Amino acid sequence: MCVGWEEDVMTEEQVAAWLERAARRDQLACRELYQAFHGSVRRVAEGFAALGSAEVEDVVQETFVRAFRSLSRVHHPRAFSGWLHTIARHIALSLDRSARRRERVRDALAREGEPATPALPEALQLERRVAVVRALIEELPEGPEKQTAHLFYVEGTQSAREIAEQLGLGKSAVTMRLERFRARVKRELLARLLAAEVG
Amino acid sequence: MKTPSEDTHGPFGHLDAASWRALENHEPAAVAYFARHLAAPCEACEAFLTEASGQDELDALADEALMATAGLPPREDALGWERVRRRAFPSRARTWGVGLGALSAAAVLVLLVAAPRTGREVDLRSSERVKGGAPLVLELTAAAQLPDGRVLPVAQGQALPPEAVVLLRYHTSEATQAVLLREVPGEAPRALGHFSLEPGTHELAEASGLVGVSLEGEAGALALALVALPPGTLAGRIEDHGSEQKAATLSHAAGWPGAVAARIHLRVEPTDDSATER
Repeated sequence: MCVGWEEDVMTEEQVAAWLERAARRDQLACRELYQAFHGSVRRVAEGFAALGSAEVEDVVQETFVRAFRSLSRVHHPRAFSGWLHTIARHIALSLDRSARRRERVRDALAREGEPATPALPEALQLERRVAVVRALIEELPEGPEKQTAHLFYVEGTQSAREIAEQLGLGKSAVTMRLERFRARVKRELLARLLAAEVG
Repeated sequence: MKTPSEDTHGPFGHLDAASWRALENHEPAAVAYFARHLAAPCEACEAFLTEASGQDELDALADEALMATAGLPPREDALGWERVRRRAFPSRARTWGVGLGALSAAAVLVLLVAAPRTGREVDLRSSERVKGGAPLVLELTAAAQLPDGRVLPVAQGQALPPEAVVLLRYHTSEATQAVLLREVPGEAPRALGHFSLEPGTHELAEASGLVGVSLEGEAGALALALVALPPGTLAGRIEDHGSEQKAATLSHAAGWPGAVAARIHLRVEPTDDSATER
């Protein structure tokens, strides 16, 4: 099974092997995990336009340092990337200057626990979820919201801060749009999870 | 799209803390209701999903999909790994705080440009005639950003605290590829990354920004070597290699035929005023 986005590069079996070695403090395995996942962790941080590039790098570094200390918690390779992203999001939120966000992260950090290994129905395998994201972007009405989501998630090369500069928008406006779109994705995925549970 | 004032006729209305708990407890009525309700966009429920905490499993599912949407291939980040490695696997008994971590490319660039260019800043120059052509000239200078924010030019053999981050600037006479090596007496060289150099004088940078080499976890003598390579050398040696094998191969770059190296020698010492020592 493909764990990440490069089906022929990173298989679930490979990640499982790296995790097993990395949990025994094998540096080379940790390096492989870093090289495979630092890009997506960085993108999580780059979604917060309030964070400068130094803070984004701090988020990446802190995420992996924290993860490598707690790898014994990861019992399934499929849980690893989601767990990393959750850690990165918590750290990014903690660096965000917004008091409201800090309040949220205090709560989130207090709850940071075991990486979840959801028993995913077919409708929620990664490829299907990516298709959901693409469809939701396509469904957005033409305008800045769609442009922002397309630039950040489909093109995937600019940070939220860079997109704000390109579109002449405030940093918080871009972050808010990305968060709003992410909530839409969460709503759609939750609906599918619940529908699978109903059967 | 449903708004907060619409479609609240079900037994649960919109998502809130109570209904979320019901979903976490897999209460059949809640699951059935929200499976229907959330199948269409709903501003109120999406606002809850934006603001509320405690949704780690759903967050993980969403983020994994969102970050995979662009489908970009993984990019090698040797310097980032080096920073993580030093914190996750401190090689010496003494470690000195959490260090500076990575620096802002923009901030570093401004600071480096603004740093006074005094006689203390040394240029380490190296040149070699490659295959009978004009000699490739490679020069390397360095500045260090200290924990208090000061940026100082770095002289040959200068002592720096482990909290410092070294910034490199090169001058080369032609476009070339280069490998940055960490050299410590008694240890094998370690490749910190490989770069494309442009003719002229430039800050050493990679796609994600300016390169800052953290000294965290270091102690004693240390050299940073920038090794310029003849055209085609890198492609021939690291093509199709995994990152482990690539790093191991690059660590030998200084010994490859036609390689031209420029080095900055440092001493890493944990003293408060070490940055100004000679």
